[in-house]
Amino acid sequence: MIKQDITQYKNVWVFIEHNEGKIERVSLELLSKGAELAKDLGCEVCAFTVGDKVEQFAKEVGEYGAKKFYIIENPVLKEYRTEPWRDAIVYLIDKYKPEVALIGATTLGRDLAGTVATKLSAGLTADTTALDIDPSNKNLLMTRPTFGGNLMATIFCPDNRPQMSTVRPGVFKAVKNPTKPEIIKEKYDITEDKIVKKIIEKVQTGEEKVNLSFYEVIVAGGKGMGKKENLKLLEDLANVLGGTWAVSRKVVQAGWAPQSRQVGQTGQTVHPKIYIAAGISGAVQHVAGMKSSDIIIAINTDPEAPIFEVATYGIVGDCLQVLPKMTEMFKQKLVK
Amino acid sequence: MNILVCIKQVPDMESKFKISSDGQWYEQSDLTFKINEYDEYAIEEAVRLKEKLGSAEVVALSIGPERTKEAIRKALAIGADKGVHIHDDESHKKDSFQIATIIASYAKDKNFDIIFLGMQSQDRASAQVGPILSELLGYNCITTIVSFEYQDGKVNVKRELEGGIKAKVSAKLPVVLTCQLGLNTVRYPTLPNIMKAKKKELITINVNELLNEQPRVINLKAYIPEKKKGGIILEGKSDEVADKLISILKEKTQVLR
Repeated sequence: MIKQDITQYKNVWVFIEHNEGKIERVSLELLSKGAELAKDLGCEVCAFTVGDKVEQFAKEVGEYGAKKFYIIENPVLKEYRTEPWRDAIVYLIDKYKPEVALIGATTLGRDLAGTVATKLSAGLTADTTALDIDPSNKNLLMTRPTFGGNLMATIFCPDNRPQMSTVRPGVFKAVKNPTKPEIIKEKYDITEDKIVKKIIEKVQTGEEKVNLSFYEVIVAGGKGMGKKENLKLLEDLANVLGGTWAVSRKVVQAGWAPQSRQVGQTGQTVHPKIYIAAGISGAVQHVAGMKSSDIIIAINTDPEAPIFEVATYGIVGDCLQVLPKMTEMFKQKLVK
Repeated sequence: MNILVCIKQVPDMESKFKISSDGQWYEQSDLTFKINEYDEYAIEEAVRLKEKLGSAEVVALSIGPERTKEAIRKALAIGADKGVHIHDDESHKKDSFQIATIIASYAKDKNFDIIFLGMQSQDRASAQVGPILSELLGYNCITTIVSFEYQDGKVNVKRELEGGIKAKVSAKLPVVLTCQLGLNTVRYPTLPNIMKAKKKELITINVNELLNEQPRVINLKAYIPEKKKGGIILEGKSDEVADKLISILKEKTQVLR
């Protein structure tokens, strides 16, 4: 393989993921983190995306600090499909050569990143939860959990550019930092008949879309909730506390709650101010999704349950009794 | 039809992991291994397709040290026809790009119509080998499938997207598919099938014959994250406990005021 001349690569690029005319939250989180990295590197943070009508996002990406906004607009790119999006993005990156490209580790991002990186001969680290710049050589240090968070690995990419990383949603905070981004619009010709993969339709499965990372209080239940009907107890307490409810993977597997409510390695990562884990044993896969919460309150009948190892406060008891009590008490005390 | 299933043997997630002596990754000894959960869905779906078509061959491939053969034997017991063991004692140190390259160089002249993989491994969870493999082979790729159907040279699948939305997608062969929880329920291999599996063909290829690429990303270091100190256990009657909690939360957070 011919070695790349990596010195021509500059700036930190953040992929703006969008769906039905709305930007995914993780893209804004990455703009904020990207701005920090750009500062360490002495360069600019820029946004980029492709789609049908994407220029409209300029205002919002500017609010979160993007200095430039690189876009390709084409009706063929309206819905996400791997191949045309890959080709359009590869075109942009190849032309402008950012040294870092960050993509949200969503279903779409994980689908897209591998193919883009392969085409570009870029180095890719998936699902990172920490990003730093090595002060000695300006390499991007990408730290990611493996084995469900039991082991962390710090990874770098010495010889290939851009240094690409998918980053889990909910790990970094989106902070407003208004600028007026310069819009750079590229033309990229692509026609529908060249595309082999067809999206027949998108189906709402009747499951609600929930962005758990939006809430400061999350009341989560596990298999210890006993049955589907008891999940109401989570919702009751969450309502009193002004939060929302969530579940562990086992609850989703049992069919008591939709996947959109799942916290953990295969669900959402959250870091609320308060996380209440009721009847959750604390398998590593679950803990990976919630351990960075400010305060963790665990309720479990088994004093040996691993959830108590990460809990700030533990209550040994039956969550089916403790939850309604807490709801009642909080109702009284908080109203006063 | 030629079907390839790629499987990975992963450590049991509840294992106690130790850092290897070079500080870059984990120690392999003293761990128990099993087939990556998502890869089991891949095997099951491949075997179901074969059973439906009547005529098809399912090849189960895995990369790793000698013990990897156990995983391949299980795939054969579930119903795969032939096993391919790519012997590599250092497979756990390879990045997604290298793993995909190994598979691609094995598969490139075999005319596989469909390649099934798990949507991610339980250990690294990068979810990248499938997409990179499709790119290297020039195949279509559909990730995170939760339903699958084959008809007239096309696959029709449902993909799971964020927040409870599913997309129906169809693609022509050849195609790479990555399998998500919910796709199927994996059968238990019966004793006669376990016995039969022992007689099925299992070839071994040395990794050096297939890989000629350097990693693009390198582990700088690995470490065990600091555990939060065990918390404070609140005791007493439930009323008292709730009282204590409220005062603590009021003091420590801005959320409750």
